Amino acid sequence: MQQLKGCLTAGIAVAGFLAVVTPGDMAIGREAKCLFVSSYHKGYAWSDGVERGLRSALDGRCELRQFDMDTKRLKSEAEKQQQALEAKGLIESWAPDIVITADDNAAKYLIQRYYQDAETPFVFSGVNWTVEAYGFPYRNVTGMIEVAPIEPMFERAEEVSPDIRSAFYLGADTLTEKKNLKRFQEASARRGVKLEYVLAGSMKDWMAAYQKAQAHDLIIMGSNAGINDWDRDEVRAFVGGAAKRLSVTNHYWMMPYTMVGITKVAEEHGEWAGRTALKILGGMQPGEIPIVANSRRDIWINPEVLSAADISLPRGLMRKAKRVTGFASKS
Amino acid sequence: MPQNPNDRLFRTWEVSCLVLLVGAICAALSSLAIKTDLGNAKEIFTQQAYNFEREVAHRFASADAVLTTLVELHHASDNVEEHEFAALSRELLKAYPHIQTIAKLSMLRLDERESLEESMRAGGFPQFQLTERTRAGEVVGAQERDTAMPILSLEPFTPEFAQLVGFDALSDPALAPAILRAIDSGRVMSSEVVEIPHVGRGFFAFKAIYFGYNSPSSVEARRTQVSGMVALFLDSNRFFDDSSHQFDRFAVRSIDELHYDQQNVSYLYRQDRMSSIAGPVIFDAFFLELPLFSQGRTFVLEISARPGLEVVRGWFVGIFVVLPAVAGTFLILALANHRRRQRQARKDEKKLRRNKERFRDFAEIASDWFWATDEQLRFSYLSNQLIEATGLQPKDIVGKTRKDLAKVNSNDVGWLQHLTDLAARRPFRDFRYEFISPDGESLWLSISGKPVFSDDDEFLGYRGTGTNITAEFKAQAELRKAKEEAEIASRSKSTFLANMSHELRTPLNAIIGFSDLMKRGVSGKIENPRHQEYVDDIYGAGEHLLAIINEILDLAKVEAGNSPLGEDEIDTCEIVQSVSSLLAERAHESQVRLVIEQLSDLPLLWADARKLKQILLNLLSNALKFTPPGGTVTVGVSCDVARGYIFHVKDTGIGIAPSDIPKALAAFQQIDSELNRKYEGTGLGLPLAKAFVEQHGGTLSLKSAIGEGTSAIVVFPPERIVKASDLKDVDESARSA
Repeated sequence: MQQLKGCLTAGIAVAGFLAVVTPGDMAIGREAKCLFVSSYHKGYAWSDGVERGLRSALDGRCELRQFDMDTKRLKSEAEKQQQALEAKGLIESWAPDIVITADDNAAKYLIQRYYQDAETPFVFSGVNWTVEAYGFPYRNVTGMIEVAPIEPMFERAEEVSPDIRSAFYLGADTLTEKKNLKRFQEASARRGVKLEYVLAGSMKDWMAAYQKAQAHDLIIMGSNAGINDWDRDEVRAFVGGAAKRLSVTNHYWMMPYTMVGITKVAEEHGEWAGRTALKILGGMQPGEIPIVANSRRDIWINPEVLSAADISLPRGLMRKAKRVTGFASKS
Repeated sequence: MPQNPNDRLFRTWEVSCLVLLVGAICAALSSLAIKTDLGNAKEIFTQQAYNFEREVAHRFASADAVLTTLVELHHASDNVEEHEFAALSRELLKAYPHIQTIAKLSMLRLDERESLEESMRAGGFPQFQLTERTRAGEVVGAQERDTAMPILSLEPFTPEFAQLVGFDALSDPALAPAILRAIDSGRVMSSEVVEIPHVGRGFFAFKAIYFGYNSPSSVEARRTQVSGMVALFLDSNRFFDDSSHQFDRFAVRSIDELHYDQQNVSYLYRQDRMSSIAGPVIFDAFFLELPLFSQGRTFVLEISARPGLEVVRGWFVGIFVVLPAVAGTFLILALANHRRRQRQARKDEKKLRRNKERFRDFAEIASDWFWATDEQLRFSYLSNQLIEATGLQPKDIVGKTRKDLAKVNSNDVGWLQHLTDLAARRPFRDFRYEFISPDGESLWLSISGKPVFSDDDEFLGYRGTGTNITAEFKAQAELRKAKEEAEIASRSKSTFLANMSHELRTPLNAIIGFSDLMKRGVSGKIENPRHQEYVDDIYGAGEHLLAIINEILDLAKVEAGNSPLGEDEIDTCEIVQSVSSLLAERAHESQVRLVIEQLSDLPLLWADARKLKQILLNLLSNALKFTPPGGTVTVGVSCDVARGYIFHVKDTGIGIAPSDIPKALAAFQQIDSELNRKYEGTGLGLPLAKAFVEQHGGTLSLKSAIGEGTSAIVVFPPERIVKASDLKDVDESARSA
């Protein structure tokens, strides 16, 4: 009798609990699951910056897992597709509430290929310049485009060297760099500056191109990401001896080898993606949030390289810019 | 048991009135206390409300300052870059947390629209277009207008605000008036309330940016020189946040002074925590409506708070409740006590009255009279029985002392003792004195009395009773007189007997003497045997008569008091041995065994040795006489400190009936004439022994039954036992002498 009474009480309690806690409530009650799919690998400065920003926004608000596609180092198409399939497998097995991606390859190989107008919401970040190639926006996709501050960079360069007629673009032989190069070519054309370029596949090619660039008024340092044999110290030593012309970059990780940098802030992408993910988890539809561009930037100078090239900067720029001395030693 | 209503201390209406009175006083005082606390609470509320109003005004001023700063930055700088504007905005937002978002709007002419849209799309906003809001609230592409004022940047740039990039604020009826007034006035103007999806409810504050370093001075110039706007979105929940005060109800409504619509008052903010306050509504809510003029509008702060019991100081109100309650309780208790005392007093009075009545009844019924004196021993009260008992009138006595009234004999021990008792304030009982009545009659009175003292032990007088004992006194006197006469007669009889015995013994001695001579033939032998027999009879009769006369003489002497005791310390063993020896021959002749019990360690006896011998001789003679041959007579002595010196003589003789024992002990009493004839004797032995014993303060008793023998027990009192210590003292005194 006593046992029967106990069972009855427990049954009533469970029924009451189920009546109060609806399935919707249960979904709200548990911690949301967020999957971060990075196009590159850990240790890659840009990706690390995005991840930092993302984690600062999501910390404590959702269970975050990360999948690195490592497509900077895995260059073949098959490998990239395989990585995308693995990410898809993780999405299907873990069933995250939202997926956040960083950079183009995740957008290209994962979102565009498998999740166009799907139920799972996606927030991309770091997609270079335009989403036209991927057909965004989808109903379930929004995010932040990575726009390099090209115009401000040209303006700062003209403050140092007012009469720039020719420029040299030096980057890695990657898809991203090709897209960046295109933007620089358009900007140079608008300014009447002749732009030559080299997209190097190795450090040696890169150094040879740098040597060649010294013949131009301005050297634009693209990203070295994708040059697998890159030796930072060797390149720094080389640049210290070879630098004679003003060099500028939009990538802060290139500052050890560059004189002036107008850089994007990787964390901005992560923070935006994180905040957007939270809004979507809170009830907003991805379609309600327009695709936006990054806006935060920073200005850097590298006194060592400037000194090696014997180039002096205007006082206003010197007063405003951050020094990379400490940065260089850390990198 | 139902209580008698008359026994209640209070009637129901009295209790009701008292309780109501105390309750009313408590209620009135506690109301006063509560009102005081409410007044304090309202003052605190008012102060807080005004403080909060100043705080809100400060927030408005902060918003104005932020807008002015940003606008003036544009005016002062030739080219404010977007990231510089954003950086400053972020810092300002950190400094003024009540401001949610800073937006920058640009004046856009129709011909510039397309290039702006293309530029924005190329710059990373692929979905950028100029938008506007329909009446239904849907955001759609903006219609072509001559001028537009789109939002181009926001700080902080958040996903929920991203939808506002490109929004033409000038097209929005809720925003346009404020924008136009801001352009015209050059001052900060706030909009009506707007609801931004996923952001919330709030309002915009606008300030126009003009071309040139200085703001244009005329309206016309302002309209033509305006280049854009800096706007703040002020989220109502954040801007009017009253969490630092937590008013129970707080609302803000804004009134457009130019377009005031009393029917459609829009509330910017409403916070109602009333419903979350537990407990019943006890006090009316405090309410204040504070207008605040800022940004071209009137913001009315409606602040109210519902005071709960917490505003009332419990101890303060408690004092005003407890004090009258305690006072009322004491009042009721005092009244109850007073009434209880009154009731007790009535009971006591009734009891006293009954006691008085009882006393009066007793006094009226009693033959004795009651009297009382004052502290001077003068009579102050006398009951009427005095008249009946003595014939005296109380008026003749009141005010006089007993000494004044009585015939006092200064040598009378009774009077002296009585006067001593009076002086010592001691009670006295049965003091008898002679009183001569006014008509000369001698009355004997007996009085008893006790002193009366006050609570302070002050002597107040005597009170007591008196009784007339004249009759009793006379009867006693007559009785005493009769006794004395009887005693005189008895003594005369004894004297007569003694004298007569003496006179009888003289001739009797001659008869015995001559008959003895004749019997022994001193004067010649009597030849005739018959004559010889006659002489023997004469001699025997003479001896018998002499013994009778001697015993009568002894008894008479004792009764006449002419036989004093010759007391001395005597050895009782010796006395017993001596007496036994005297009777040994007689016992032998009678064939009766005479036994003396063990005599040892007996103390001396303080007694008359001759009379003790006579006592024992009489007892043993009697025993031998009434014991038939073959019987036994036992004599013994014992000593008991508690009981005394005891002699007993026991025989195995014929015995006597217990009823005859008193006769045996009385003089001249005959128990049985036949016995008397059989056993010759005077019959005075036992009475004489008894008289001797009693002369020593002792007792003689007989225990006997017919055929079982007789025991005679003589007991001398313990004080006649000579103790060893007495002997020692005597010896020592003898030695010292």
